[in-house]
Formats: sequence, structure tokens, C-alpha cells
Amino acid sequence: MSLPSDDGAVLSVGHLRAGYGTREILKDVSVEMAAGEIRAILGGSGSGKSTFLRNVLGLEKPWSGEVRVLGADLSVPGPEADLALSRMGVLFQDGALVTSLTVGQNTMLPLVLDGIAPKGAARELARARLSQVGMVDAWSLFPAELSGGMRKRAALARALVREPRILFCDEPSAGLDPLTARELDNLLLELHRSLGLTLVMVSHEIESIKLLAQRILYLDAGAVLFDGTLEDALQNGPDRVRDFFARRVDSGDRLEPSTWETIP
Amino acid sequence: MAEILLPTRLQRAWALEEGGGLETLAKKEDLVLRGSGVLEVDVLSAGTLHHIRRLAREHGHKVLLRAPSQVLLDRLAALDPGPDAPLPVAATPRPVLERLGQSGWDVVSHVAEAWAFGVGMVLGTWSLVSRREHGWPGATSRQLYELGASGLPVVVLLTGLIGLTLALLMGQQLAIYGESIHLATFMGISFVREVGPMLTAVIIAGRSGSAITAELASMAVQQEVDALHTLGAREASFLVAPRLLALLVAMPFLSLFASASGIAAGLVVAVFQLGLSPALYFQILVQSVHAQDILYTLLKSAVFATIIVFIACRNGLATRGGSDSVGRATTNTVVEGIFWTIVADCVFALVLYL
Repeated sequence: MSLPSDDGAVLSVGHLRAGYGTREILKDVSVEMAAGEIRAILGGSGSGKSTFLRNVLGLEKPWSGEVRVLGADLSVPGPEADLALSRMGVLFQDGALVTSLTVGQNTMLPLVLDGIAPKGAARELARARLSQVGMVDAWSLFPAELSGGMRKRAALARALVREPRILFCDEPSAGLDPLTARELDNLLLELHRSLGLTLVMVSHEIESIKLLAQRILYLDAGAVLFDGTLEDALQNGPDRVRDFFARRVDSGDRLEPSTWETIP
Repeated sequence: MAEILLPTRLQRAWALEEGGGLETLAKKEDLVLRGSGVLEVDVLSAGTLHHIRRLAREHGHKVLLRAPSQVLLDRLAALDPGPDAPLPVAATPRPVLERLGQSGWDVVSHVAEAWAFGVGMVLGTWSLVSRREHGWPGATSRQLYELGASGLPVVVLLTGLIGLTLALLMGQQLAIYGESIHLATFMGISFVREVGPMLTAVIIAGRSGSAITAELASMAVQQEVDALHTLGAREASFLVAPRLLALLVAMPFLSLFASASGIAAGLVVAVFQLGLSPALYFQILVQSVHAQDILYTLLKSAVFATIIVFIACRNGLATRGGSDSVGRATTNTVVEGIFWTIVADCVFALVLYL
């Protein structure tokens, strides 16, 4: 079975509106991502980055609009969604490894869910990915025994074990020290080059974005403020986007001070 | 208009002692504060001054500073609470009719959601059993050990102790009427039909139900359940099914062990307190407990197991937020689990004995 868009746009979002309860978070977001690009989704807190990712991954059902990953709507369970899921990987913020399984078992888990026994070929593939991220020695450790950076690397191995065409990363460098964060960035870049992986990362880490991103999607208050290349964003982007990269703090909402009346 | 001299050092003591008096004054008339000599303003005093000014303004009065020192002005500016706009207030309660409608709708959607979860649980278990979906190998046997086998000692011990208590009580009553021999009848019927399965259900709802909810809730909170979704796993077959299968197998056995333990405690009382022979006790027991009683117990235990797993998994997987919600979900599971197993037991009794 093949998917409608096996070549062409790997992710297309059209007029996406989404939120929680009655609170609207995303107001009409449209975006297309081509195969092989590295795209950073950024914006301040509350801008709708995480909601965007959750809707794209099919973890929330959009209010309206269309979301397709590799041509499939992930929020509708079925063979098409399953096929798309098997060709993508997700690196969650804290790794989200299954607590009751060891690092090795976690890495084999995607294959086991495809009906492959966790031995033989599955073991070799998991070992290959774990050595790629430098974690093969942690094979029999449980997630609780790992540091934050190690958990992320193991989760990356798990996300890569089915050789995905597209990898989603939620804040890849959040909670890591600068050195570990750069190591992870370089690892992602290397994987992008060697596997031709399409990378979609939600981030607000300027260093990571500058190092990795080719194109950026800047969300502000649930709408797309800028969609284009990184160079374009730095040179001709809206003030807010340029301020973001220049680390200028937005001071528009500061309160007027009260004044005391004085008499001589 | 009152004029007040501020001391050189505005400290905690000043704010606590003079603040109240100034508040009363500010509500009544305009105030002039002479602050030329102020050399120190601590954080509480600055807050007090701002508060007095706001109070005065709310009552249509003014607070003026006469020749304030630079220290006083700087400190007041540094701890400025912003404009005089009132702080946002919590949303006012909605009208009664609207709230009634909302809670009615909540009940309907709650039932619909529970129904969907139940159907998903059955289908997911079937997918796992029929190997249409794949779980982690050995997950069910691990759950069988954790939820069932490791609960055996506590189940046997507690039903034994309750059996002993009931047997002592009943033995005395029966001896009065010269019917000590029927202790075996009483212990057999009550433990096989009621006390064994019911007590097991209560213990397992507390012990294994809370364990299931705590584990699934912390998985949900740490995005593990989301991650499983993106790997193509369905929670019904990957997480719920192994637990349901394990408890469906374990509960009937636990109930039988519980009944046996209670009956054995009855034997101890019969032999040592009432002076009956063990052979007679067993003879009467076999006469009074029938095969269908045991089948009934097994069926009832399986239903209890389903109820406990349903409640525990639903509460666990629906958990959102932080670690405080994990604790709340676990408490709910224990309360709801015990409640609904007792309700189900009552329904069984009504159907069978009426």
C-alpha cells in the first residue's frame, strides 16, 4: 500500500483551527512542508506551537481544517494513518520512554508493534540506532536510571528505528545543558544529511534554530506571522520575528506606573 | 485634612503599628504625609503606603507627600503596583438553569464516553487475543503476577481473619440452639457465594486498581501514552487488554482461595471451640455447597475483575495535568471500584435470590 503523497509535500496543513474546550488556540493556520527540509516552528509561550504539533500528530482532533502527514489524516484511525505513523518518528520533550521497559526494549518497541518479535533482527536494528546515538551501553537500563540527555538520545533511537521519512521533535534541547543540547543538534543535523530525513522541530532555542533550521514558521497568538527561509526571516521578517532572533524582550504590555502627588 | 510625619526609618514595626490607623484616616479625609526625613523604607512599609493611597482614592480622598526624600520616592517607584485599575476578579457563577443544563449534558457525555471506552476495551482485548494487534510479549503474564499472584497472601490472610471472627460469632449462637454442626453450612454458603468474592473484589480494587491507575496516570502525564499513539499502538490493546486478561484469570482463583481460607478458619473454630470432628465438618460442607455455587462465584469474580479494570484504566488514561492529578485519579479508582463492585454484587443477589 502506498500513500497519496509518497513524493511531494510531507506535511500539509490547511486552515487549521484548534483549541481546548471553548478556548481557541489556533486560528486558521496553513502551511506546507516539502520532503527533506528542516523546519523550525517557533513563537513565544502560548503562541500555539505545542497545540499545532499535537494536532499534526493526531493527538487532538482539529476543530476544522485539514491536516495531512505523508498524505494521511492521523486523527482518523485506520490503515492509512497506521502506514503514515510507521513512516514517521516523534521525539517528545522528555523522551516519553515507556517506564516499565528498558532502553533496549523501548528501542525495539516500534518494531514489536509492527508484529516483529523483540529478538533477532529487531535487536540488531535497535542496537544499530542506539550506537548511532551513543547509547548502546545503556541497553539494559530503565528510563528512571538515565539522565535527561540520555533519555532524549534513547528516545531518538526509538524514533529512528523504523527509518522514518519525517521526524518531529518537541523542544529537542529543552532541559539540557548547552553542551548536550549542541551535541543533540549536531546529531539531528547528521541524521538529516545521512538519511535525507525531513525534520520538523518545535523550539524556542535560538542557537538550535540558527544551527539547524532552513525554513521557519513563526506562530503568534495562534496565527502564522512568518513562513519562509531563515535568512529571509533575519533580514526582512516582521519586527517581532527579528526581535526574537535578536533576543529583544517585548515590552509592549508594561503597565503605566502610578504617580504620587507631591507638595513642597 | 490630617498631616502626619513619617519617621526616619519606615520598617516592619511602623507598618504593623501605624498602618491600621492610617487606613482608618485615609477612608475619612485627605492625608498629607511629611516624608522629608525618610532615610529607609522597607518592603512592607512601601506596600502599606501604596495600600493607603488606593484606599483613600476609593473613598474619594487624596494622599499627598510633602517634600518627600529621594529615598522615599525611589522606593515607592521601585515597588509600584501599577495603575489603579481593579484586579481581575474570578468569573461569577453562571445562572442556575445554565449550570443545571451543563451538568445534565456532562452526565450524558460522561456516559457516552464510558460506553465508548468499554467498547474500545472489549475490541482492543479481542485484537490482542486474535493477534491483529501486537502488545509487548509477556505483558499479560507480568500483569498476572503483579495484579493477581502477588495479591494472594493479603487476600488469603484477610479472608482467613474475617472467617475466624465470623465463625466464633456464629459458633456461639448455633451452640445455644444445639446446632453447632451447621457452622459448616453457614461458613460454606456465605464464603463461597458472598464473602469470598466480595472481599476479594474490595481488596483487589484497593490494591490492584490503585496500582493500575497510578501507573497509567503517570504514563499519561509524562506523555508516554501520547508517544505510544505516535508509534501506532492503541491504548486499549497495548495497555488495557493485558490488565483485563490478567485480572479476568486471577480474580476467580483469588476468590476461590479466599473462600477456602474462610472455610478453613471455620474448621479451626469447629474443631477447637465446638469440638466437632474435621470429617463431619467436611461432610456437612460438601452437602451444603453445590457446584453451581462455585460457578456463580467464578462468574461474579470475572464481572468484578472487568469492573475494576474498566474503572482503573479509564481513570488512569484520562488523567491530565501534573503529579497532583495522579493522586486524585488513584483515590477515585479505589472509591469508585469498591462502590461499583458492591452495587454489582447487590444486583447479582437480587437476580439470584429473589
